[in-house]
Amino acid sequence: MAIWRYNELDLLLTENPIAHNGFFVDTNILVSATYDSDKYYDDSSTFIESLINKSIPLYCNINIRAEFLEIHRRILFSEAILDFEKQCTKSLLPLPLVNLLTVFRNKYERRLREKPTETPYKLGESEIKDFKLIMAKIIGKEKDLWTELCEDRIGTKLVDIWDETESALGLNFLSLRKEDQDLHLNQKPEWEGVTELISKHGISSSDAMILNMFLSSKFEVIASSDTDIALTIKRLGLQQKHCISPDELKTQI
Amino acid sequence: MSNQKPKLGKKNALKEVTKKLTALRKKPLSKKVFEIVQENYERNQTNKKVAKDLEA
Repeated sequence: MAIWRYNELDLLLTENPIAHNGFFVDTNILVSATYDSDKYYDDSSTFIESLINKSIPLYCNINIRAEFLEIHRRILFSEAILDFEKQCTKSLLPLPLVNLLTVFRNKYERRLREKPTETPYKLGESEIKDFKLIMAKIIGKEKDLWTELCEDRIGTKLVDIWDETESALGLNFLSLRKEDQDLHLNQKPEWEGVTELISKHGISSSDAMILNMFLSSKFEVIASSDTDIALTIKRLGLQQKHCISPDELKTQI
Repeated sequence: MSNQKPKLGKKNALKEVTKKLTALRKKPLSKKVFEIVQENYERNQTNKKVAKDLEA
């Protein structure tokens, strides 16, 4: 079986004792376990606590760190901009910014109304860029609005959050150094593996890089709350590669 | 590295990280944000007035 539910952890470990050596963890499970508005927050945080209680080491790579920071950056900006929309006097703002704020508020509220159990809507990269372009032109005596928003909400705080997550979970980094290769990798991950995953399964390049590292590794299990990762593992149908996910996600795929 | 044991997570530490992250997310916007909006608006109004006076 390639896909397991979180609540099948004990069975997975009994049938695959090598998995005690370590789990590869995907970005989305780290985000869902640290973001209390995520639909999988309770499931993922409880699951990670049970891995820690069983003294199972967790492994990731630099792609996962980059993605973690990226997703949390989008969450922080989305919530800061929603607060701004709620509190700022609209008549003081340029019309294009009022329009952008209204569109975002409507999308956010619609998601809450139509899918109340889902993770709240967050801004995409291109939407953040639209806000940045306008907010950078709103200039006070000392600095512009975008710079202030960045310093107020992001600053070095986000990097601190990653450092604390890494320390709390005892995250181990897989690199391409010889020691890591000998210990944890069956083969050096090659770029061709990434392009093959993208072309055959239509997944994003960041997911493909994470999956390619996992497939090249000696680890048997990846923990993920990402549909794309779980579905690709299922489609690959490899004997010794498993994905463990929230119960609901397994039902979806 | 090969002689080292892998790092392990600390019990209940994840909750503390989430708590800190939530505090950061819920932190009220700085006063400065609204001051910048006000300053920008007032400057624009002054510029508009000057332009209008010049036209007249």
